[in-house]
Amino acid sequence: MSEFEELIDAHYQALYRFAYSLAKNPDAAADLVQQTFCIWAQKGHQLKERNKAKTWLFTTLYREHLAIARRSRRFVDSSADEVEYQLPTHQDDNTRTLDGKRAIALLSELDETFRAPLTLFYIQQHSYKEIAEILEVPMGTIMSRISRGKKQLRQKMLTVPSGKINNVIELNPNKAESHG
Amino acid sequence: MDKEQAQFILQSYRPNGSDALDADFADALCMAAKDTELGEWLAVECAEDASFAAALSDVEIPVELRQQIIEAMDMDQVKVWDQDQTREMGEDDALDKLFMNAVDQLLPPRGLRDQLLTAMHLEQAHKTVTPLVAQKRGLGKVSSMVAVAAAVVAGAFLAYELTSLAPSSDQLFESHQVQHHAGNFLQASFEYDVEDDDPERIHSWLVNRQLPAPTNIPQALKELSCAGCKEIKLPGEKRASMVCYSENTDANIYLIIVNNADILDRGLPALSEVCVKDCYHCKVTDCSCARWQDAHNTYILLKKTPSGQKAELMNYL
Repeated sequence: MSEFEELIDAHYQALYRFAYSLAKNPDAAADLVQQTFCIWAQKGHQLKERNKAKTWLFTTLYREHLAIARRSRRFVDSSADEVEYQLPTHQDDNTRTLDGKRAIALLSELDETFRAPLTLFYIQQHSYKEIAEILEVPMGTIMSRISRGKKQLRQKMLTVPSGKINNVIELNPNKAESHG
Repeated sequence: MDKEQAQFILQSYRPNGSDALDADFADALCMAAKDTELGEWLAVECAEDASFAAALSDVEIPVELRQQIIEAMDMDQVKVWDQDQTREMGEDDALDKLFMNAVDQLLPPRGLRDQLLTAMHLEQAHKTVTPLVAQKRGLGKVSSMVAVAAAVVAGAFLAYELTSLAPSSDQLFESHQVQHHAGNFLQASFEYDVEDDDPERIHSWLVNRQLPAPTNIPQALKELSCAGCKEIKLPGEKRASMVCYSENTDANIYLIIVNNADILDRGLPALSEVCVKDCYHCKVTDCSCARWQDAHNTYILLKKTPSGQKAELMNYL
């Protein structure tokens, strides 16, 4: 297996999940991943520290996503129609199984600011410092976005499409403080 | 560290334990081990995070994706997805432009003072460039060893940044690269090429030397007195100008002017459109910055300010 194939095998799945959360579309996500590896093939040799390849790939993918979004002038969240086919079927008993599709749908509903850092956090292949490097923002900002992103994510996890709150136990990050 | 700060830090703790040995989490983890409530909260937080992470890992990967990626690497047939047009693979300048134009300036969220304050303590511990010792006189009069050391580090970083791209007469730069390069001068002792308080004479000097000259500057800057100007040499025999405006003995404002032909950035706001959101604080130079463009030049306004006071630049715009 070539070095390039090894690199693909090591990272393409995580890159695809990251791309999917950004692009909200499996085809666009696949395109992003392919484009990222294309750029690697053309520019990767310039990377002096090979152990930085993972960070380089995720940074490149994120930049490509921003470039595409900028070109299409669509820095707003997609409309419900665009992501509808990705959302799980609403279940009458108000329980929501958390599978891959649901996870992507929830991430897609987050503010753009939180989506990328939170996705990278949950992929669990990057420390918050590496996430800061990938997204080119200060580490403190990343911590703040992860914190606020989680709050927004959990609020959305509690909300069914009808806008009602389902009857799962609300998880409050400050729950520990409220205990007597 | 109080409990709230520990919670804030631990929210970035990966549930798979990858961060267990990370020193940044040590204090917060230690507190969680001793404090029952915090420990319970962390357990719930990690459980929730683990659940979501597991769900995310279940996202189906298209079975054909791997092969498509490999096939796409046929170097003779890859099409570059350029902003303006699709080009054949092999045109390095198109790829460079595509790659380097991609990132927008990311700004941290406003507000959340308490959370940012906690996070900034961690940030300070990881800074690789020693900040300047507070200056009583202008930035052009640095003499301390700390500042010299900072200049050496900053210079090495900037030299790497600008020379990691093969320099050539076709070399183009992003405005933040020019800003970093110019900022290097501001962190060390330097001499103006021309010391003059007359902006007209400075303008003439720049024009006579075929250097970018300011033609589109804010009225507030026009009302300040000039201190001097300096040619900024860039790799690839490119040149920029730096004009210093003096507000008082403790504060100088620097205007960097670069010809648009040497700059990759497009879509920077016009002077009349610059607003607070366009102001940012640069960690590398420790300056607050604002940028605008006109038909000929790109302008970068720099002032040494604390990171929370970047909006102060609006006083000059």
